Amino acid sequence: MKLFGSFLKILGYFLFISLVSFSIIRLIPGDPVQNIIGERGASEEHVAEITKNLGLDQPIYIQFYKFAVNALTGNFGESIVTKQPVMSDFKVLWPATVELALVALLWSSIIGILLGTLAAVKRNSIWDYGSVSLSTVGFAMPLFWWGLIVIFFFAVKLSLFPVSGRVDVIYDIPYVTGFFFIDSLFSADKTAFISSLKYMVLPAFVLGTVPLALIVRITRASIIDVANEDYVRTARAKGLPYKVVLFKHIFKNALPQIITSIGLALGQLLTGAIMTETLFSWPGMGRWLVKSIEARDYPAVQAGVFYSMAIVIVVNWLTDECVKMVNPKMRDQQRSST
Amino acid sequence: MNTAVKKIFRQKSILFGTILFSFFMIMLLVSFVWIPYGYDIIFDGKSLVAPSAEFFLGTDDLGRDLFSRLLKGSQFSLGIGLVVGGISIFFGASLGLSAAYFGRRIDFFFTQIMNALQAMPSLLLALFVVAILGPSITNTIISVALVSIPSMYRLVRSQALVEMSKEYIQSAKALGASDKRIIFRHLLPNCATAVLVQSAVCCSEAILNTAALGFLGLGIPAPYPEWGTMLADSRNLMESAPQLMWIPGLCLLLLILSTQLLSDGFRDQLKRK
Repeated sequence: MKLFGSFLKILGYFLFISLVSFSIIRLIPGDPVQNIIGERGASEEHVAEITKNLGLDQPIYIQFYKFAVNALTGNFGESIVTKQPVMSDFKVLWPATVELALVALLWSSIIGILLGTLAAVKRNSIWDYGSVSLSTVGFAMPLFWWGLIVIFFFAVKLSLFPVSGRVDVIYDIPYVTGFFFIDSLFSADKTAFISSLKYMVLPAFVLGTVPLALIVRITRASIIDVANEDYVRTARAKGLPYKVVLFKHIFKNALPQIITSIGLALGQLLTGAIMTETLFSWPGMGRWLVKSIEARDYPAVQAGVFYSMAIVIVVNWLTDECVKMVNPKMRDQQRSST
Repeated sequence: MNTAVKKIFRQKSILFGTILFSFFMIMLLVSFVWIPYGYDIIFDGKSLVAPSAEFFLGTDDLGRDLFSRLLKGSQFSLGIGLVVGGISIFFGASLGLSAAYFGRRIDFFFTQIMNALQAMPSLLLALFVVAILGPSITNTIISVALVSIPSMYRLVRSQALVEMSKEYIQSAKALGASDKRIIFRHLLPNCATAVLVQSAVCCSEAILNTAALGFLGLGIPAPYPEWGTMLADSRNLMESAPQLMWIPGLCLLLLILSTQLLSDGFRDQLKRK
């Protein structure tokens, strides 16, 4: 019964996101056929042919059905710009974004949890004020300006790191997984790995900043919250050392909230990836999406809408599951309600 | 100054937020009355001039006065922030109140739409709206407002639902007050603080998203000097004229910071009550 319920839920989500991405091309003012032909015009047969190719001669529910089925198999048609199937463009791009996002998430979570815990434990110290003001400013920081500053200091002034691309052009990394870290590590040339590491530093640093601010803020707040609980006082009163209480009682109970904040941060990474990839010419989904929108490449935009919504939904679901995993209270709650 | 106001300003985030925000408000008001050179006047042979007596903050690569552009730009950055704050108050609050008050189908219908809008990260949604409508000033406002309405709706709805369960609403109903009277005389005033907090949040999101769209070249079209667009233009000039990068960005950061400080401060006040 539960399986059927979640199946229905997934079906509903799928229908919803395909409906949204399906509507996009129909919301554009003007006739899509005319948009493709452009201003030069075309013969009547040509117009009829394009209409038929786009499936626009059929009733709208059949069009939607076809779109949904195609979307399920990953067929979004041909990109207007590259004349390639959108999927084949997409397959090369997504590992770049995922690699960047994972590295950014990794460093910002580690530093964020450390700083947040430190701030909460040493309340009203320099550490506390420092991390709070850091997270306040980081939260308000326009990511693109931050990126420019980072480029200004680390690339222009100090020329420590390269700023555009994923790896030096001299390296030809064989395409296996699309994740350059993995591919270059297993390729013959080990310097390629170092090079791809160097190219990763600045984009990942910039992309991780806003998530860092978020994670610091929520970690600090939730640890302070938990530290005020009665069981913490009891644990201290019975003589347990502070370190044990911190890790066994406080941190464990603050974890669900911290995980939720990391999930939220993932949502921000998606937005941030658009900015960061544009700034650093990182060949990923974000830059591709902006380019497609600029070029009015609608099949690509449709695929972009579809996948970004799917990613958000999957991330939210994963976050919920993780929270349930570490928080028995929520697990039991759900069990008793179903 | 009376004591209640003094008490509010004792909170540092509200104090700093107000000071910063009023600075930008003054900048906005001044820009309507006086701009030294005009934002699109090109001075031949005076491109990339360093800050001097003639050009207070220097000029950009086309020879336009940076200070004039910065002033004019406040009309877009802060102006759009305020307009979007107003729009989201109007739509978000009226939809949220009616959803909470009438409940059932209306509630279900609006909530589903808002959930759908929130299923995408805000900048992505704004980007897609611009992709459909094309970049222009009105479309920027529409796309940025559409992003901020759902959060306002949610907050007002949940606050109004809390109020709805209280006794004074039931007694007002029992007394035979009309829907209109209950919504405007009872519900709305009791949700006002929540609206205030959220409108500051909406304002800061709108400023950030407008600038982000501008930076990507999909926001306010040229030659209007929106701060995000100015930053995008400064990208290749950061060595020769770093002030083109520092000043609009700093303005943007401080403006967003001021609205966030205000909303944080208001929220703390709300909690303390």
